[in-house]
Amino acid sequence: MKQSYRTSTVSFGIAASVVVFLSALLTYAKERYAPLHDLMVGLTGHHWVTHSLADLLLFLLLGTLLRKKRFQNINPMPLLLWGILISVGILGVVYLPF
Amino acid sequence: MLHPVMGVVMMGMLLWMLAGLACDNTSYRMLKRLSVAVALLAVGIWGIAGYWYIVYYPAEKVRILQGVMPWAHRVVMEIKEHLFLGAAIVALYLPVVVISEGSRVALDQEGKRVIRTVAWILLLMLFVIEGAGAIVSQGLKQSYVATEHIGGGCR
Repeated sequence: MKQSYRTSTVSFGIAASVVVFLSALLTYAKERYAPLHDLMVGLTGHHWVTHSLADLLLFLLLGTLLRKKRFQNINPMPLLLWGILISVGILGVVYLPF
Repeated sequence: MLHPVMGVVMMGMLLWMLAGLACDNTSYRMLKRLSVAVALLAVGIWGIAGYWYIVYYPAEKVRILQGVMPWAHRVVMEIKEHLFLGAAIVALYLPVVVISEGSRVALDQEGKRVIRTVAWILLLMLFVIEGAGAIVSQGLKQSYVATEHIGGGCR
């Protein structure tokens, strides 16, 4: 049976999946590359605030932009699940060796 | 204490949503209100916990790192503060799904399934985050206990 989802469900679902994954990658990058960490501190005064704003803005922007295209037959749930699982894996790689 | 309590309230609301979705005559209005409330709570926690983390946690971090459970910060808190960002995004996505799929909730199972999936994902993430918070708190508490013992015990 062909599943059809509303445009916003798909667009923001893809956006959430991408942001969750990129957020974990940004965590890895800022922990491994001090100049990036310092840049993020310099932007707002704290790296976590910059990280938060980046995630929020990217989610809203991407979700809105993807609404322009019709993806009604894409099920965003597996993408979201995989995005979260991979991001948890990346966080584990970043912090567990300590 | 406020932000963990808000987290528990979020979890309660998610369970309420899941219970509602299990009914044959699911109330769309209830789902919409709960999902918006969950998103608003997530934003509130983001602000409150963020403020606490930036202003007060640095001193607590020093104590935890010097205590008997330094991994409570190095591993657990670090994962928690970044996992929360993902959970907040999913919390913001939840009302989008409910409002977007809303008209189908009473009509077919597909709309319900999507909302249920997002709610479960968020609930599990919050469960992990709450547990992580408890471990961090324990790490801080143990650092005080260890200090008392080193100092000579009860006075």
